[in-house]
Amino acid sequence: MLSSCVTLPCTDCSPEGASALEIGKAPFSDTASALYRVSIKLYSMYFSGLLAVKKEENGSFRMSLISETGFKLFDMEVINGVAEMKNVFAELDRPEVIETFKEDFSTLVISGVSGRICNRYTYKASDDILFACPEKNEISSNFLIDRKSGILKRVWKAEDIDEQYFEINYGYKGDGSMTPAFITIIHSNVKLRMEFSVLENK
Amino acid sequence: MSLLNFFPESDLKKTFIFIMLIFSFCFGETVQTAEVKQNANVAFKELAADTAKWQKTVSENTKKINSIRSSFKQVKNLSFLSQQVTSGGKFLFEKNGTGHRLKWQYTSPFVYTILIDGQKITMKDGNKVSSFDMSSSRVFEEINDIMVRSLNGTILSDSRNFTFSIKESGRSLMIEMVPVKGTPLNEYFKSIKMVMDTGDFTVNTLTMTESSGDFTELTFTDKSINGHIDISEFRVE
Repeated sequence: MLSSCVTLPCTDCSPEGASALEIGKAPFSDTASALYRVSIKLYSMYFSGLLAVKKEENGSFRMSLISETGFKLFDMEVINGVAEMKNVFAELDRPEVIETFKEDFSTLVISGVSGRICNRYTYKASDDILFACPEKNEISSNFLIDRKSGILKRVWKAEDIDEQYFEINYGYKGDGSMTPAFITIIHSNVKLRMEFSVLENK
Repeated sequence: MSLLNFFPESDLKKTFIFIMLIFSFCFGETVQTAEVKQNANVAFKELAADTAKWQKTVSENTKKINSIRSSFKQVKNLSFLSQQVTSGGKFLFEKNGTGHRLKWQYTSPFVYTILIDGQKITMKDGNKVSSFDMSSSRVFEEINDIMVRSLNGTILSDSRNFTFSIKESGRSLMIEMVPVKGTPLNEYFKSIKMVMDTGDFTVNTLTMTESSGDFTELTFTDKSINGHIDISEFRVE
């Protein structure tokens, strides 16, 4: 008798079939603008700065990463999942750096993902729901949502359950605001870690 | 045969007067334009002479500044934000045998210190201390160089990389520096403006406007000039 082996993107979870991605409460969904302290660790190098985020009325996002001393590192606009960078500081103006930041920050604000058809999973030991959304080259973007609150807790990208290479974790203050108080972005394959802590939220 | 054979005398007179009026107008207009041009040339020469005079005066006086201790306020204007990003802290500057030292100690709304000693930059963010050699980043090196030379006034002698205009306004000098096209700084900055106190020739305000139009404005207050700064104050602890 033949049996099929299905690779799950999570442990102790059960598939529930294909479903449109629903994020009840997405990060920045009620944000007008926010200012974050940022620390970036790339291998043994350490940088820090400030990230200004503004959500426009049409749902697009504008961001600027600046040093504490005010020097602009880059401007970015994210419209429907597509990021464009401008005014990039010369030392960062390299294709691989730009592509990494574009992908990271457009994922950060959860732009252009609503309504995508994904595979839905539920967990036995928690109220979390997982949407595993196929991308190209056998990579999937995975969205972990708290079932009761609808809040997105975590996003990660992986080729397989054991081959996760990118993740974003969101932390909230618990006052109902959907502006994350803390965010971490981790790239496993290039030893890149970014941490954000909110300074101002309007 | 004369024109009178073809035109009545009255018509001829009218035509002659009309032609004289046109000639007078054109001549007058030419004279007026020439006067305007001459006045403009005089004004430009006076401005150039003033600029040169102030460049010399600033250079002579800023050489006497060996140290500065002050408070600073930094305002970052990003065009897409309705509110500016404001921070502040303490600033130290000292000339030493090999060049200079600067320390920016941010105290609000975050705690952060950056120390520049010659080519070495040390930054402290919380408990994390990191350093690097400024020569590894040409643009960063040039920006830092601009900051230092703006603060100690020596930038006014850099005619190779900037064009200058200097105006006196009460006890202040309003200095505008525009990076020369084709220089690396021209790609980053549209202009740099300084307001300098003619009492002690220190900078009150430094505004750096980027090519995008966004700008950073530094305001220095509670200045103490040429006071003693202990070497221990230039440590990042």
